[in-house]
Amino acid sequence: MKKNRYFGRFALTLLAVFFALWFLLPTVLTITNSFMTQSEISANYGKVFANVSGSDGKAYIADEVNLKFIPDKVTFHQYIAVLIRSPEYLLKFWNSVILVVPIVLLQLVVASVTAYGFTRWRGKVRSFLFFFYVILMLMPTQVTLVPNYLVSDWLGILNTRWAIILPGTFAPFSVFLLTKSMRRIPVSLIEAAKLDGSSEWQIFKDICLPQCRSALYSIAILVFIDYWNMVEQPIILLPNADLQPLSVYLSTINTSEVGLAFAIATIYMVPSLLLFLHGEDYLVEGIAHQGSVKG
Amino acid sequence: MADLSLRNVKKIYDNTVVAVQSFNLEIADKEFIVLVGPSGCGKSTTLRMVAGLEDITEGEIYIGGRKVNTVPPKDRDIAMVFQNYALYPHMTVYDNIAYGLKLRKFPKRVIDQKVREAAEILDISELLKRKPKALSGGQRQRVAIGRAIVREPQVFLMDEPLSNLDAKLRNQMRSEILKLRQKVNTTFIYVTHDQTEAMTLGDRIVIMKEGFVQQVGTPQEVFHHPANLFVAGFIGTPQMNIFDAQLVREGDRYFVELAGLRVEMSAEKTARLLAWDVASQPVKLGLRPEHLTLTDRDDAVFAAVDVSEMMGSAVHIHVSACGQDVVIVVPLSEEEETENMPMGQPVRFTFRGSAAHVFDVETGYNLEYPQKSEPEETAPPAVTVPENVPPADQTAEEVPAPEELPAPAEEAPVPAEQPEAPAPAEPAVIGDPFAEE
Repeated sequence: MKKNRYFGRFALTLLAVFFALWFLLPTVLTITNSFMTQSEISANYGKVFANVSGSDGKAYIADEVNLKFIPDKVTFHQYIAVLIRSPEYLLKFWNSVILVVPIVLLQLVVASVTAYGFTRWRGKVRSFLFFFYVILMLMPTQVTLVPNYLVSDWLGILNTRWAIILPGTFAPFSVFLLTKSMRRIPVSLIEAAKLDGSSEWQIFKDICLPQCRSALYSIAILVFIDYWNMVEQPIILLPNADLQPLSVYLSTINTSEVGLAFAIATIYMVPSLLLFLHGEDYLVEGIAHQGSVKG
Repeated sequence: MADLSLRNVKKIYDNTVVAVQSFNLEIADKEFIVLVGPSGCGKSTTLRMVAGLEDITEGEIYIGGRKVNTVPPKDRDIAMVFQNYALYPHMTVYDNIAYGLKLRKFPKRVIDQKVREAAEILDISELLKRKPKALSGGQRQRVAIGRAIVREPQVFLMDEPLSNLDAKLRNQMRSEILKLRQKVNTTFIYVTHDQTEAMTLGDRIVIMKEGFVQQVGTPQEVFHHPANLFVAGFIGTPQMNIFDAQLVREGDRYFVELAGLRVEMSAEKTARLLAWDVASQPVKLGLRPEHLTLTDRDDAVFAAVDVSEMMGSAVHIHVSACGQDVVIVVPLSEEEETENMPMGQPVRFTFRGSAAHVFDVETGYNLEYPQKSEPEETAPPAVTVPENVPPADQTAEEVPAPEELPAPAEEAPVPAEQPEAPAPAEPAVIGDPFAEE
């Protein structure tokens, strides 16, 4: 019996390791390939990209796609090209930053105030509104794109950064997560603050927000990753190519620059990765606590 | 420091649930008042209304002569200690205590001095830099008290502050609160469901049940002169024994007859019964276990031992008598050996007339203190009866006398339809609030 149990555990671990490696594969491939020379990359992926471009008359360099992890020759050529020689990539990177950072900050502000309202305000209207928020949360971004387009057009902000930032500021998911988090704060704590002389604003700022730190951090990370990787919204709401973020630009890189795509993708991953590593504990705590009953 | 006045205070939740009914109480400056009663009796609601955390449905609350019905909690100059401590988990002990002062814009130097003084009083000076989660339950409670005393409030409110502590720590903290009271010397309102806490801490005790005040009085008063059967059963450990007995009046003398035993009421009790002109009638006879004495007299009440519990300084003997369970407390002197009482051993007990409490079978009121204003009054001077008192079985002349004889019970504590039922049926409804003892 004991042997069987050990075997089961071993098999499970093996399975977990397999899946972990499987999911890690594209990331590792992207990073290692970003250090390959252009010719090596062309040799590995030439056929795929040639087909994609649909240029039938081209001579194929290789017949098969060759997934190669370790470069024959390590070079920083792609990075030099991206970071120094062609400033357009950095400009796109900057575009991403100035779209996503305000969205994250504004969303945190709006969501925390709204969640506080939902926590402190009692009544039937509150329940209805909160239900409405949950329904909204379940809708995919694509569904809200058309209304967002129409409203942006009406407001005259179409094709400006505000067309992305403004809808991004109001997010039902963040409100939901924060409301759940704030409701876990014991009422007696808020009452104690009241007796201590806190105003409503002070209760929010001094008592509620510090205790929602993990939820705030989780939201910041999730929202950052979500908007850092956005593609549909800028394409529809921000057609001006000069203002579009790197996420959109990545998809337009053509055959001749495959090597650059790996380098840009690697650079592009860095902010999300750093943010995640920095707030990993908060992220786990913030999400794990939602829905749990506190004794 | 301030006096408090609660006048006809009433609380109704959602227009349906009545939590507190016509609560009247005058609390003197620097008095320590304990609200006690079983769960759901409205004691915490009353406290929260004083704090301003609950709206008052009807009535008025005055603190230091100022009506505070609509005054927000922060402007009432009160401090409150919560059952679950309610410490801010993200702040250090120092910041927890200092928070109220910071909000009131005290200079930093003054805040520091006050926090350290409070920490000194509560013996938590070395904990000031810790976060609440690094403290034990007792330490957390001290911090919570520190946060309250540092503000030097006019009124100190405590909502079951010791309930989350274990029995040993609770006893220790109880004496700490007594000491604290000497030091801070302000008005206290303390809520508890533990009658031992109520008896040891309070200058006066307010006993509540289902939203109604049952009795207000000093610990001695409520112990020796319970206003009704509920109070009699609630106060005192072990619980008072209640028997079905007969009160007999012979001229100016009163006797109680229990299972053939006839005991004359004491002169003091007789005088009170005479004052109300109480006639011979069947009664509920209340006898505290420590007032029953084992005897060899032939006319005493016969009983059979069920079990005897050695408590160290006394033996609690559980016996069956008059068709019910009865507890007799026999104190032991130092030299005395534990009496070995096997199950079924026949014993006889008696009691003194000064220890007998006689209650009305129908209403449960103590017959020495019926719900009348003055014994001489024959006219129905019902003017002082609050309109909103539900007078289940109250007549127009039944006016709650101040203090000792408060709001009427909304129901007869003893079910009138089954007078022969064993008396402990009623105290059993109360639950067992003395379990920890």
